[in-house]
Formats: sequence, C-alpha cells, structure tokens
Amino acid sequence: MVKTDCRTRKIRYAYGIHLFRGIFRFFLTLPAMILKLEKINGYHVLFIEEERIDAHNSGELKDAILHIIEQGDTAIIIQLEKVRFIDSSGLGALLSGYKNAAAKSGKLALAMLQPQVLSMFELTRLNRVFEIYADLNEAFDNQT
Amino acid sequence: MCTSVIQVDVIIPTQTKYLSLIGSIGERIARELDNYSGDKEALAYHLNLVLTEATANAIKHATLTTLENTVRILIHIEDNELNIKVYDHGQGFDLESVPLPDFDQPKESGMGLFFIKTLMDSVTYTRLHDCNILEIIKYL
Repeated sequence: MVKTDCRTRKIRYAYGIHLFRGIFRFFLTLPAMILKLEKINGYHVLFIEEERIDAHNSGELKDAILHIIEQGDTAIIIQLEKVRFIDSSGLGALLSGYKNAAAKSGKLALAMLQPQVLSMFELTRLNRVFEIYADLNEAFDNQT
Repeated sequence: MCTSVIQVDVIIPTQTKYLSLIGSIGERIARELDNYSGDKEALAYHLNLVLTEATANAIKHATLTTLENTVRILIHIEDNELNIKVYDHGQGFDLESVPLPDFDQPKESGMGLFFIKTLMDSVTYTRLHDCNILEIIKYL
C-alpha cells in the first residue's frame, strides 16, 4: 500500500509539474488569450476565458490545443461558457484541434456553448462534426 | 417627414486587434435601430460577425499583397437599407468563384464569405481605381 501511495504521489507530482509547465508556456507564449487548463475526471478541460474569438486570437487558440495534443493528451473538452462571439477563424481553430485529436485516436468535444455561438456551429453544420454538451458533467458521462 | 440617416466612416490600421472595435460598432448600431421589428440581438451578432469577417479579409489581403496599412469601413443606414462598404487595396478576387463550404468534409478556412452571403441580402465585390470594394447590403 505504501509503495502504491508513493507512486501515486510521484505521478501526481509529475503531472503537476507537467501541467504547470503547460500552463506556464501558455502564459509565456500566448499573452493575448487567457486560457485555463485543468485535468478533471481524466479529461483535459481547456477553459476559454475570453468573450471573443476572432482572427486576432484564434491562431493562439489553435496553437494551444495543438500543444496539448503534442503532449500526448488527446481526451480534450473545450469549455466555452464565457465565449459570446466566435467567427470563422475561431471555428477553424476548433476544427483543427478536432482533426488533430482524431488523427491521434483522441477526441475533442465542446461544452457550455452560448446560444449565439451554438448557432454558428449549426449554420456551418459543424454541430454534426463536434460532440457538443450542455455542461461538463454531461460531457464526462458521454465520453468513452 | 424626417428621414433618419446613420453613417459611420472608420479607418483602422491593418491589425487584427481592431476587429473587436469594428464588430462592436455593428452591434451598437443594431441595438439603436428603433424601427427594426426583427430580433435585434440576432442582428447585433450578425453585424458583428459580418463586419469582423469582411474587415479580417481586407486586412489579410492588404498585408499579403500591398504596403497599404489602413482599411476603411463605411456603414450607411437610410430608410430600410443597411449598407456596408469595406475597401481594400489587395489584388482582389472573384467573389462568384469562391465555393460554398463542403459541409460533409469541412475545412478550417473558407467560412467567412459564406457567413456574409448567408446572413446578408446582397454582396458584391468590385474594383474601383486602385482599390476593391466589398459592398454588403441588409434590408431591415
């Protein structure tokens, strides 16, 4: 039991360092877009702390998602509760993440979309591509 | 009888950080339209989106092909017509040859003009002297 606990602590510690480096890198290289990455229920949840995603910051979002995937973390949920506006470049950044995750047999799902943001997915039929959940619990329940 | 006219003429540097400014002007205008009977919040989002997409397009063309460092956006509302003109100094393109997005195999780019065409009533792209004008009309 003691060995198991130690290993668990080491894994947690290692993961903490890994997560810290990842978050640090976000703030180091992506100063214009505020993102928060948390591991919840085994999934990497990326909270977008911005009201607007457009051509000014969508490149940073695309790079941030790609960075997570390159670390080998391909079970990703993007939490969009605070996003009130998204344009075509923002949709493109999320689609890029979806394709990159799928290419590594992973999954990128979306949660907590505001109605007008959701309407952009409906207009482009991207709601048929992404798994879109009302909240994080629903997203966790439906991940396999 | 009084005919109210709103005209906003904006010139911005070719930098994407100004997209939110242009988009928010569209939102504010939509909310000030007293005679508009439709969904003002939907119109506000759509004007924000259309202005953002059109301006981003002009910035992209300007920075790719010329040394021009400003983009002009003209918004004119009179009677029931909302008219947007975005001026760019790039090489231009054929609006009619831009394909619709492939919904079955979606790509990461190419949705901007689709939004403009879908959400507005008329879109034209013409060359005048040394610049191109993307003209967008929405009947209110």
